Amino acid sequence: MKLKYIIIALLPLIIFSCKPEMKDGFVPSNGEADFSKYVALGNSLTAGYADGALYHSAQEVSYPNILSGVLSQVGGGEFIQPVVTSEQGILAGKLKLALVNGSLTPVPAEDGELEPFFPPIGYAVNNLGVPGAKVGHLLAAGYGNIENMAAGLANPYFVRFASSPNISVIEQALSMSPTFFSLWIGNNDVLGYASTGGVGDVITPVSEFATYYGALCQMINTSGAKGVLANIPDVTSAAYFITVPGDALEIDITQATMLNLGLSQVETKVNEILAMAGLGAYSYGIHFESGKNGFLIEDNEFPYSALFDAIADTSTDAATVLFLNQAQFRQIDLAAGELLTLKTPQDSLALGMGSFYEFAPGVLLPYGIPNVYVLDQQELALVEEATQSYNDIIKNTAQEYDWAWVDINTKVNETKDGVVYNGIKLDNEYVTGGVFGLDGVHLTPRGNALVADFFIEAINKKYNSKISSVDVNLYPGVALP
Amino acid sequence: MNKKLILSMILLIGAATVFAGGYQVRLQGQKQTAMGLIGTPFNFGSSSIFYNPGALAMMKHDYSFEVGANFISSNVLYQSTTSSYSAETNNPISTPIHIYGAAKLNEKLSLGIGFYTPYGSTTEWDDNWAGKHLIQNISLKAIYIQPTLSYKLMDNLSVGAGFVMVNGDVDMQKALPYAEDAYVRLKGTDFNYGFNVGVFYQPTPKMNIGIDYRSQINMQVEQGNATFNIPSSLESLISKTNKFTAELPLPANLDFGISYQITEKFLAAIEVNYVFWSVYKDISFTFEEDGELLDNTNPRNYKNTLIPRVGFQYQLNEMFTFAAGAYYDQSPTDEKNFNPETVSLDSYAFTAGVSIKAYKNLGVDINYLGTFGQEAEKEYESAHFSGRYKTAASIFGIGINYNF
Repeated sequence: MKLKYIIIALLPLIIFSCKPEMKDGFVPSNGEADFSKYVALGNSLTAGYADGALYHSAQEVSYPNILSGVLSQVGGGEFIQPVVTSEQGILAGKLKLALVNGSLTPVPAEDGELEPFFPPIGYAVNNLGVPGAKVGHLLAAGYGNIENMAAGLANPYFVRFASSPNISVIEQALSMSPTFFSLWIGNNDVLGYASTGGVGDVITPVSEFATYYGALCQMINTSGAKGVLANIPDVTSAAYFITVPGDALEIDITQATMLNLGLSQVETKVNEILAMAGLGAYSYGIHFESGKNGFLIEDNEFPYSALFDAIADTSTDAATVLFLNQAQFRQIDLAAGELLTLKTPQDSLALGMGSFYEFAPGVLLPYGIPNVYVLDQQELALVEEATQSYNDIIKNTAQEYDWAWVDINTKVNETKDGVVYNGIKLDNEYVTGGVFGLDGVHLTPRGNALVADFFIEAINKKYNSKISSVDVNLYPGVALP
Repeated sequence: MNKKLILSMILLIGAATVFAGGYQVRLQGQKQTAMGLIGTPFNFGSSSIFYNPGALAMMKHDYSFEVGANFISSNVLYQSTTSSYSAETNNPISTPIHIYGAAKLNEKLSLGIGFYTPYGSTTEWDDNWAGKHLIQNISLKAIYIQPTLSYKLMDNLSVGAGFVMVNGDVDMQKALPYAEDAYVRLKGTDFNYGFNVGVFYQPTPKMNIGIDYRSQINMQVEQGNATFNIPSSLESLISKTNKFTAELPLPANLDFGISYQITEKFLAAIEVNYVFWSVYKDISFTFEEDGELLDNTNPRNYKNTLIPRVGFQYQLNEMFTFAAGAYYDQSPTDEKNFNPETVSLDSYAFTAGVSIKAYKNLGVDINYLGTFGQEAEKEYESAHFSGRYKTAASIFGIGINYNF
């Protein structure tokens, strides 16, 4: 009798366990899309390029590779990348952060040997992102032919994985018989120009872009694959353009007085030259004040440029030639949004670039920041116009073929203002923002995860699929030493 | 790279709440626990020190001693609403204990002292879980000591008051975004005071009414230790060790209960607890060094809650008494400020127990409590962290009482 009650009393011990179970969970599904053979097309962003190089650990977290990881829950097949085994990369240029004089500074990385890009790897790949590729390059036969390299018609990154020397990127992609594709291209059609202050490259004309983009998508559509098109971000939202402030010429009242004196000496000398040519006086319209001032930059539109260059050509006095050249400057127009690039040499700024430097004892010469580091008002307008036009084409094409469309441009503008993701803040700031890597243009693993999430959102919306989102915070930002 | 740049990386560093509604299971006496945690309208002995000091003067014996322990196994399940990701806490079993002793000084006056640990909860998430930047793990230990006096005003009316001394201990860790294994660990202690007063009234020989009020106690951590595990390059910007100040209100409780002896063997009771959670508006952390980078305030916006309880007791014979109960524990958390450090969901709970008069004046109580948190989608808006949560807890308790 008593035993029975004791057993009853001890019953709770047996059921002493605790496992909560969820009734309504997230169930992944492929919706109306078939992800069994996914192929990614694009440029360096697609390839997984980061910190100035295409290296092993960065390639592993390319956004297509992250995306394919979650696609595997909804019928996605194997996703093969042209694996780079070197941590240093294929071509030189990798950066890493180091503590230099107590300050975090990007320096050349030394992570072993570079990996040769020839001979080709010899296996079929799903990630056909080619660093440096513009939209037209994806259609170009021989873009992966090493013999075309000298003429600049081939790209070492495509040489690495081209299945035959003269196949185009798009032909090779379609030869994989993809059921699903992503295409994020067009960045380089404007970036090469923008990143070099309009000096190093030209913007692909919109009509050309339209032709190439149309041809690419028509080929894809003919293959029957469904997919997703991504537009290009306004390049000026990238860390590359927002890191070096245009008004960082911070001076005290003594320095301001000195610079104003230097400025008036230059004006006097310029006006002497103009007077000799029978021209009226010129004013730079600059006044330095204590505190922050806009940097001086080279003036592409200097009104007496032709005259000064002509005099310089006939002059034998080196100092005069130098003056005539250096005098062609103006102050950066911050109100018009003019930008300095990440490449602007900080050490030169410290020595007077952007203001005046001491040419000889007591002699101050103006030193405008070279054009190659400045995205001026006109260049900005051209970049903006091209970006807008490309993005219209991309959106229209997505609508035409009823494909998913990722508005990367809007998303990157949002991250520029800062977004909070699972408890941490992300923005486009250099190093600290978490999104952009050390070259200021390409993404950190965390930035790639964010982009993968943008793609997932767009694909889910279009194809009624339920692809798992990616936990962005589980991917690292810039590695701090 | 200066401090200002680093600022943008630190966000929402803070946030420790340890006194969840869901964990405010008041396991301070085994007989009460078995009856749905109802305590104000009874005198089961010296455990009234916690439940209603007013009832202590109504002790049947001259001396009463109680000691008990509970074994809490509780877990939280988290599931993302946009992915197949899920995470579950790996909480260790926590074991709050209580010890009471009381004596009748004379017919009217009783004196007692209670030592109890009402909050011994630990929440341990995986170090790399999705919410790691909000919380990785948090543990709280609070020891209460309460000397108590109770006075019988009339044969059917008594009052009592206790002075509450609390020693609180908090230890929490959360990830920082500087590196995969970067984190901050915050440890602090505080000693503080409060009170516990109650009234016990018997309008008829079969009916008891109890009212109890336990005051709010603010746990004020000063000179808490903060340890930053960060990449060496940041050590010049952020001190690896730092001191912090934070304050957490432990809300006041107002309890009101009625019991009725339906038959000689059958006792029924109901009780409501009103918990003044709305004092918990936010939690702020102030650091001794690098305050401009690290100081932060985190919204909580808790709301007051009402917990209804029902309990029964059936005396089978001289030796065995069975009890059962149930209650509905409302979450005090705000819809938009739900932080995974304190996953408190609206919960149903069921209790059961048996009291055995083992030998003369010696009794043994064994009880079980199960709580079932209602699955719900919650958001911590300022951190953009949301998901579905579900909780469950099983508590097994055992106690010994000796009255003479």
